[in-house]
Amino acid sequence: MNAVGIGWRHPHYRELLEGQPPLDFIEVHSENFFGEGGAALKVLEQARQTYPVSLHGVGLGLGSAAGIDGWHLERLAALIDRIDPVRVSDHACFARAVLGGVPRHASDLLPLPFNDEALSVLCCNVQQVQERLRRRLLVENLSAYVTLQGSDRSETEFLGELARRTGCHLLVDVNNIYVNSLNARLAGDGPDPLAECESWLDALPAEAVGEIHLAGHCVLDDIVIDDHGSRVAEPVWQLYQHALQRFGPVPTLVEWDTALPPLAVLLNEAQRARDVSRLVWASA
Amino acid sequence: MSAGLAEQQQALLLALWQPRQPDAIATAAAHVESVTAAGQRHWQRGLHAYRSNGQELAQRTLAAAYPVVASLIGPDDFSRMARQLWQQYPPVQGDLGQWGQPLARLLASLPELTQAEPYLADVATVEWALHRAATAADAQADFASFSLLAEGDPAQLNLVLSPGLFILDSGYPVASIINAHLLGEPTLAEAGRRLEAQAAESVVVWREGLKPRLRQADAGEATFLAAVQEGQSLADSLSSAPAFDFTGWLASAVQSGLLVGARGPTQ
Repeated sequence: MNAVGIGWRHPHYRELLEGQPPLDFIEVHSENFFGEGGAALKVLEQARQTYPVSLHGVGLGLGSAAGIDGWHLERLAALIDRIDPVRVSDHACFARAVLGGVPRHASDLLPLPFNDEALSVLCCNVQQVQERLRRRLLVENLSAYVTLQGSDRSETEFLGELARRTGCHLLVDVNNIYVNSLNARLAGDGPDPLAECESWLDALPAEAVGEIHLAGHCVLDDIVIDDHGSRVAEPVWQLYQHALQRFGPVPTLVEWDTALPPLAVLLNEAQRARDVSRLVWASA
Repeated sequence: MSAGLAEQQQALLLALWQPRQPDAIATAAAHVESVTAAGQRHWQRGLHAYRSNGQELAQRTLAAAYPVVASLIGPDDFSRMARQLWQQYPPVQGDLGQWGQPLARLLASLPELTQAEPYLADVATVEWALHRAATAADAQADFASFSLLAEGDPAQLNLVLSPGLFILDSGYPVASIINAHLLGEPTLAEAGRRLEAQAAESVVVWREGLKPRLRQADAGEATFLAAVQEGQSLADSLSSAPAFDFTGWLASAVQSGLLVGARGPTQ
C-alpha cells in the first residue's frame, strides 16, 4: 500500500494533535513556518513527533527568470534542519520578476512556456535549491489559467526532461491535470478531458513520480478554478486509479485549503484514497 | 539569464498588478496563446482569476495580522484597504507573513479614515509589531546572568531584552484600544473614555513564552527600553530615563519574559 496523508491547516491543528488519527504523513505549507520561533513552529515540532511531515512550498518560484530568492531558500533550509521532513516540494511555476528595478513576488503559481529557455531556467533553479538543501526536491505540475506563447513540446516532455536533468522527482497533481483539460475545453481547445488526462499520465516517466496530490476544484460558467475547497471530484478519483496503475504505490496527499470542512471529512477523503489503492493492488 | 523568458514573466506580472498602465494588457497578450475567439476571452478570464485570487489572499493575510484595524474600520473599508495595499505595496517575498507592514503608512495617508479615527495608524503599527513578535526567535531566560545585576558595574552591563520587543510613544491610548478588542481588558467603554480624555500611551510589545504581549509602558520605561535596544549600558539607559523605577520593574520584567538576561563586558 502507498502512504496516504492530508494537508494540515490551522483550524485542524489542535484536533489532529489530540486525536492522532492514523495517517502516514501530514503536509504543511513551508512558508507558514518560516518564522525564527514562536507557537506555529512549536506546534509543527509537536506534530512531527507523531507524523512524518512533508514540506510543500508555494513561494520558491522555481521557474522564475529572476532566480531564487536567497532569503527564501535559507528560511526553507532552516525549517528542514528543524523538522527533518519526509519530502520537500514546490511547483513548476514562476512567481518572481523585477519590475522597474524592484523585485516583485506574485504570491501565485504562474505558468511557464514549455521550451528550452524555460527548462534551462527551471533546471538551474532546481539544481541550486537541491544543492543548498542537500536533498532531492519534488516539483509539481500546475493548474494554469493562461497559456504562455513559445511552447515547443508537451508539458509531460518538459517535466520528464526536468527530472532527467536534475534528478528531482515529480509531484503529480491529478486535479491540476483535470482542471487544465476542462479549461482547455472552455477555451475551445480540448478533446475529451478524461482521455486527455489519461494520455498525460501515460506520457510521464513513471520512475520519476514521487508523490500524487488530490484536491477539489470549483466549476464556474466560464472557468474552472483549482481552489482546493471541496471533495475530490469523481473523474479525479478515476484518474487517481489510473495514476496508481501507471506509477505504482507512490505517496498520496489529499489537499484542502479553502472553506475547510471538519477534519473528519478530510480523513474520509484519505480513507477513500486508501480504498482506491487497495482496489488497484488487489486487481494487479 | 534569459531575456525572452524574463520579459514574458515581467509582462504577465505587470498585467496582473498594473492593468491600467498603458499597454500592460496588450504587452501581456502578445505573450499568451489565444488563437481562437474563445481563447481570447479565456485568457482575459484567466488573468481575472489570478487577480481575484491575489485580492482574496491580500484580505485574508491582512485580516490575520490586523484584527483590530479590521474591526475598527469595518469589512468594506478593510477590503478596500487590503486591495489598495496589494496594489501600492505588492509582496516582494514568497512568505506572505512578511507582507503588510506599510498599512500604517497607507492609513495615515487617507484623511477620510484618519479624520474620524486618528489613532488608526498607531493601532496598525502596534498590531504589526505583535504580528512580528509572534514569529520572533525563541528566547530562554538566562537566570544565572541576572546575578551580574547585583555584582557588576552598571556602566559595564548590558541587558538582553525579549526578541520582538517593540516600543511606541503614541499620542492616543493605543494599548487600551487594542487590548480592549483582543482581550476585553479594559472594556471597550473604558478604552473609549480614555480616548475622549485624550490619554496618550506609550506601548511595549514583547513575547512572553510563545504569546505576543502588549501593555502600556510604565513612566520612563519606553525611554529606558529604547536606550537598552540601542545597545547603551545599564547605567546610561537609566540615566536617560530618570523617572523610570528600575527596581520596581525588574522582577516583573524577568517573570514576564521581557528581560531575558544580562551581559557583562566580556560576554
